[in-house]
Amino acid sequence: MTLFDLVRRSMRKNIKHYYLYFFSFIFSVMLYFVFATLQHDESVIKGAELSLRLDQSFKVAAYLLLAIVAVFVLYANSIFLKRRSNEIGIYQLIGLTRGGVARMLMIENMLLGIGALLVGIATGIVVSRGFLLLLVKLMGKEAFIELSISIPAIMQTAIVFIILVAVTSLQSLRVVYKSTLIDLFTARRTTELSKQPGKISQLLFGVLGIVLIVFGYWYSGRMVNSYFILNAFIVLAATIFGTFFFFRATVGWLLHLWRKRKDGHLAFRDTLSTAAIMHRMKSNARSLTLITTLSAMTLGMIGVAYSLYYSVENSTRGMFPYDFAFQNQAEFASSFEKELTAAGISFEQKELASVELPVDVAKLPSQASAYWADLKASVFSNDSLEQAGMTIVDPTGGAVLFDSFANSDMFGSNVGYDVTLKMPNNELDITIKEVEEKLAMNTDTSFYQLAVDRTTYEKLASGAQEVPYLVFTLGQEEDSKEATAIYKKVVPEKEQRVVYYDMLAQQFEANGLMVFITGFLGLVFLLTTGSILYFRQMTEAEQERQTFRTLRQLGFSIPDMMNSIIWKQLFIFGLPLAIGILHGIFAIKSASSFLFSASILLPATVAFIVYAAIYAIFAAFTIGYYRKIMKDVL
Amino acid sequence: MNILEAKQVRKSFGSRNQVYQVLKGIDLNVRAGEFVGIMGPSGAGKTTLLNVLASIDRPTEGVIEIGGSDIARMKDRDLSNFRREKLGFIFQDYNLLDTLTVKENILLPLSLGKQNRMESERMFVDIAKALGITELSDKYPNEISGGQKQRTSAARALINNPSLVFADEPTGALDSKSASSLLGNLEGINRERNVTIMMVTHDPVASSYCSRVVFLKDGQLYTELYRGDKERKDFFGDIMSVQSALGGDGYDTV
Ligand SMILES: Nc1ncnc2c1ncn2[C@@H]1O[C@H](COP(=O)(O)OP(=O)(O)OP(=O)(O)O)[C@@H](O)[C@H]1O
Ligand SMILES: [Mg+2]
Repeated sequence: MTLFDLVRRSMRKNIKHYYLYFFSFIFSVMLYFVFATLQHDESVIKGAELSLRLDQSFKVAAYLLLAIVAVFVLYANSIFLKRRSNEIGIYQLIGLTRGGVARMLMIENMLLGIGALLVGIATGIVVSRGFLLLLVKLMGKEAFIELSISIPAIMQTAIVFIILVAVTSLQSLRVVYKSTLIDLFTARRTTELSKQPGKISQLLFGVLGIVLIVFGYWYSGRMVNSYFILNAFIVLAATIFGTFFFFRATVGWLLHLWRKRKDGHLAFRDTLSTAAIMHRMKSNARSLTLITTLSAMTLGMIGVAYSLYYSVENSTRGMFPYDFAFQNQAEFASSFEKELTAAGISFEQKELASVELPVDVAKLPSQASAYWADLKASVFSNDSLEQAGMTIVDPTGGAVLFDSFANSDMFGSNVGYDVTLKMPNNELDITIKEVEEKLAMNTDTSFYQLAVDRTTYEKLASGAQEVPYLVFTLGQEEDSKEATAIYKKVVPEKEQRVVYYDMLAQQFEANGLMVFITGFLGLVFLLTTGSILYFRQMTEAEQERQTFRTLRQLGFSIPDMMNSIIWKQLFIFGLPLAIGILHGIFAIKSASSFLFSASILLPATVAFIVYAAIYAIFAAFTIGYYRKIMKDVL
Repeated sequence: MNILEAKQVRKSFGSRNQVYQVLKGIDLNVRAGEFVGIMGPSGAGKTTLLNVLASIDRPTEGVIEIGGSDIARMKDRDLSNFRREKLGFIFQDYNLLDTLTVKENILLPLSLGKQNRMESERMFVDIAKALGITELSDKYPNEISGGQKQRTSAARALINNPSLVFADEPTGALDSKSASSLLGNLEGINRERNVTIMMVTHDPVASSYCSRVVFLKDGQLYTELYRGDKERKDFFGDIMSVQSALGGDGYDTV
């Protein structure tokens, strides 16, 4: 047998035993490749050029994906190495040189890496079509796509993973050169038990953890000011370190108190769960923090993106109350009307009017735009708006302000404050009675929009010229395409206004892409965190083999023991999830306060439930693994 | 000629603030062809000493020379050559590779050598027959008993005709019949081929096969006994009396 034979043999054996490692490697390649393919896909690139923001998100997402894939592969390799350390030691004991063992591991790693790369890219090519279809569907585009095999994506994936294989090889080299044989022989069995808690320092850190988290939550509601970046950084740091201390000290401390109260009389369930958790909490702290942070990030991202997507129609309609609007364009409107009728499209046409007056809004809290000179307001009478089909609060005795971003309470509500309308001869102070979270008229100007009662309107209109509007709303949405085409035909390009349906499509495209990116990243994060927990638990289960054997010999049944294992898994999987969800809720809350006005509750809940459900699958796998080991030991 | 020399070997475990010294300065010389038994109460440091001597573990202090060269300074290649050609190690806890069958485990040391297939096969058949595990060759370690694993581990250590064998309680899991056949085998290679053997054991019967027995207590050499040309039965008596004097934890004396 030559070295190569040895490699081949051990690989053949190992594939059976460590298929999980191989699988996760392949899976990482596949996901990375799919993302790279989309990144290089023409239709997506066009979508991403929609706005700089999306382009940036795509790039950031690509780096995040790269980071997480790297962490994951390195982590999986370290577990894999640990499980094989005995074998590595034996090879040296029978006289293979360190160099030889290292060479063997490198050959293995290379074969494995190339294999995973090929299989991963191949499956990636197959599934990326499905992902692209999903993306196109989310973006609301015509589902006609042709996916050619993307050479740049293959190159990019290959380069990334070749580098990763090199790094994992270095990792293996370190193990081979830095360990004595006895380390290798005992590595699999040694557990990094932490010392008994109870020291004052642990209490301090435990309290610090909670304080930091609470502070982070509290501060996250107060970050919108000129130090926004710094504030965001403070919040991130506080919650992440808080979480770390929470896992490293607080949990152990709480369990310690609980155990002390029991004074040695532990129920059987607790001997296998609580005691084990306590012993490993400290060494688990880092991975649990990572998992919690990733979960929170995923949930925050998906929650925000999905909420935005979910309310695209609402928010677009808020800005464009009518499908088509003509201002001072009576002749275009009438030919538009004729063409629509000729095409057999059902529609409703309404007439409206407003007065445009200079306005002073210096007293409003949301005076961000007050820096602009020559502010104007379009003032409507409430009865004409109602006649055009809009329901609004009665403005009698004041005014209703239309503001489609009213919900983002970045600067507080405008209700109760005065604005001053400047008529040619005199001024009129009018109090904002109510703010409507929408606009009264399609617009591409930054005019304030107000509604007042009829009498006030007449007073205002007497001194100024009225602006007439003709607005159209289609009877059936299916006609939107044709109608939009007619609009663009009838109205010369220079005179065209933004059409509701164009805006809607654009919003769907942009937000759909965001949902896809965050969803994709979320999926990767989820699979990664789930697998890391699963790997860790698998290792713990292996280490506890002897305990299980002893317990079974003592007459405990598998259900007895499984009961406590399920308990432990609930804790190990549930705690990071719960804290991640809590973090995520606060992240969404603080994002929603300045980013958007959208319905959050339902979409975010859906996102959370889906996340938790997939996560639970990993817990179920882990429990299954424990059961298998327990059955095996006798 | 001394094949193995240990000078002032110390070994400590633990971290900065809680150091626990397990070996407290051990001097030991082993001549080629000796069959040395190491005895002592549980926790005395026998396994630790054996591991350090066999280059599996590093001593915290002290020098270990094998065949005249300090193993701490040996080159990776020389140490590997030494392990490949001269060393055999039987583990207290077997240490078999789960992914290989009994036969593959035993043949592993030959996989690096130049033996051809027929030669390897012959060596395997010999050693398997001597240790009574021929029928097990295609089983995996998790399908055989503890004693069978121990014999497999012994077969793996002995198959490449080592000239220096370290054995950590090689008979711990064996019934008296398989134990005496393994001991007989060790005694045989020791007598006929002049193989040097160091064996940790709790069993006075097992150590009565040795030519010298070293007693360890609390990490120090307590005393040693030479068999000379005594009958095994008489040597056994000597060992028993030292052991009861050593007291220990009563675990050793039956
Ligand atoms: N890795 C380790 N870390 C800390 N202490 C250790 C370690 N290995 C051994 N010890 C301690 O060193 C002492 C000697 O251990 P050793 O295994 O050498 O005993 P032994 O003489 O072989 O005992 P036995 O007869 O029970 O096998 C023990 O008290 C043990 O607790
Ligand atoms: Mg021992």
